[in-house]
Amino acid sequence: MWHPEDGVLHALLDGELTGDARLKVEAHLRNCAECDTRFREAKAFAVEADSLVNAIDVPPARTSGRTRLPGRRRIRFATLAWAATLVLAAGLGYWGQDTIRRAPPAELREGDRPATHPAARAESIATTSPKSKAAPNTDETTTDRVAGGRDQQASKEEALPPAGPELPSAEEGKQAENRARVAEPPAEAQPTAPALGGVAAAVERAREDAAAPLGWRTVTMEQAVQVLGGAVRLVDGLTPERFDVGPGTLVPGGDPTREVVRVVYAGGGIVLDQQRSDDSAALRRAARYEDAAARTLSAQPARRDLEWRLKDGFRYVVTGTVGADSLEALTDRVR
Amino acid sequence: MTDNLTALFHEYHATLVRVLYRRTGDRDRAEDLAQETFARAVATPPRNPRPWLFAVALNLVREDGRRTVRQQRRLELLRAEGPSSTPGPDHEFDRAQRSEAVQAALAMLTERDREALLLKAEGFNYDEIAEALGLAKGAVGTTLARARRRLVEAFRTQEGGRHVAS
Repeated sequence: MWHPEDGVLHALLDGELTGDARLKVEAHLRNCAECDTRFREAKAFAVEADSLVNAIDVPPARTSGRTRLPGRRRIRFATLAWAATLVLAAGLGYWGQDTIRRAPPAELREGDRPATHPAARAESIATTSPKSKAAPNTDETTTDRVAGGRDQQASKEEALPPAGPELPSAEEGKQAENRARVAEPPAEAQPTAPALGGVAAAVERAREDAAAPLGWRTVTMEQAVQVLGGAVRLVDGLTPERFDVGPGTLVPGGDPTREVVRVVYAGGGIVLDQQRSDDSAALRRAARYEDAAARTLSAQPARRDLEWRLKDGFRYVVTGTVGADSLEALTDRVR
Repeated sequence: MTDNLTALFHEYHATLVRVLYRRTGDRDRAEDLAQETFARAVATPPRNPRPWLFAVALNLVREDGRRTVRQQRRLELLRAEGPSSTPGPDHEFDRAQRSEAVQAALAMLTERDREALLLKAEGFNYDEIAEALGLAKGAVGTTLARARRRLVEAFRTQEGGRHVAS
C-alpha cells in the first residue's frame, strides 16, 4: 500500500499540493490512521518550527549615539555649515562663469581681474560682513579660501566651451544649491550657442570634463552605486528623495579625483555624502575647509555635519540642520 | 529600472535584513549583506527578484568564511553571556532567552535546512525556495520536513538542558 512521504505531507500542509495529487493524499489520510497520525505530527512540527523561527527577535537599528558600527572611526565633529559652503562655492562658480564669459580672455589671468569678478566680490562681502569686522584675522582665511575657489573657477573656464550659454548667478547661499543642480537648468537661461544644443548640452559637456566640474547632478540609485564603486549606504528609517553625484571638490575634504555620491533627505535638510577614497591627505584638507566654512557661513550655525571613514576607504558625511545629538543618532542609523 | 530597484528595496529590504539576521545572528552584518545584495542587484538586474535577492544574500553569507567564524564566536558569546546580557522585566528576559535558544538550535541545522526554514517563515512558496536554494521543487517538502523536526528537537534538547542546569 502506498503511503505519502513526510515531504508530501508537509507540502500538503503548506498548500503546495494541488489537483489530483492533493485529492489522492487527502483520500489516503482518511483511510490510513497511521498516516493521519504522521500528518498531525508533521503539522505540530511545522507550527512549532515556524513559531520558533519567528521568536528570533531582530534587534532594532541602533539609534543611540553611544554605539557605532564596527570599523567606524570618528574623525571630527564640528558645528559648521560646510554643505552650505559648498553650495556657496558652486554658486560662486556659476557666478564666475557668468562674469568671465563676458570678459576678455586676458582677464582670466591671476591678479588682473575686473572689480566684478566673483572672487573680488566675495572678498568685498567677506571684508564687510559683521563677523569680519569683529575678527579681522579671519579675513585672511576667508580670502584664501575664496582665492582657491577663484583658481578652481579659472580652471573650469578653460575647459568650458568658449561660447557656452550664460549660466545663472548665485546671490544667496540657499538658492545656490538649486542652481548648482546642473541637470535642471533654470528657465531664465538663454542659450546662445546653438552648436552646443543649449544650456543642457553645455552643462552636460562641461560635466563630463573632469577638469571642469560644475556641480551636482541627479542620478538613479544604480548609477550612484556604480559611481561609488560599492553599496550606497542609507539612513535607516528615512526615505531618500534623490541621489546626486558630483565632483569630490564639492565636498569638504573630499578626494578631488573621484566623484562623491549624495543621498538627499527631507528636501536637502539632511544629506549623506559618501565617497570611496584612498587619499590620505583629504582629512587634513577637510580640517582646513572646516575652518574656512565656519567663518564664512557663520550665519547658519545650526547646520552640522559628522564624518567618519571605514577601513576599506569609504568616507561618509552626514549633514543636517539638526541638533548635535540628533545628528549623531542619524549617523548610527546609516546602513 | 530605477523605479524597480527602489520598489525592490522598499519591498524586500526589511525582510532581507530579518532573514539575514536570523541566519547570522548579527544585525550589523545583516545590514551590510543586504546592502551588498542590492548593490549586486544593480549590477545584475534579476529577472525574478525575490528568490534572486535571497539566494544572493544567503550565498554571501556562505562565501564569507571569516565572518562565519565570527558568527560562531558570537553565538558562543550569546550562550556564555546568558541572563546577564539581557537585564530587564521577566517578559523581556524570557523573550530574549527564547530567541537565543532558537538561534542556537538553528545553528545546529545544516545550512540548507536552516535557510529553507527561514525562507518559509518569510512566506516563500516552494518554487521560490527551490530557486533561492538551488533545489528541485520536489525536494523542498522533504527538506522542510526534516528541518522542522530537527529544529524542534534541537530546541527541546536545549530547553531540557537548561532546565536541568537551573
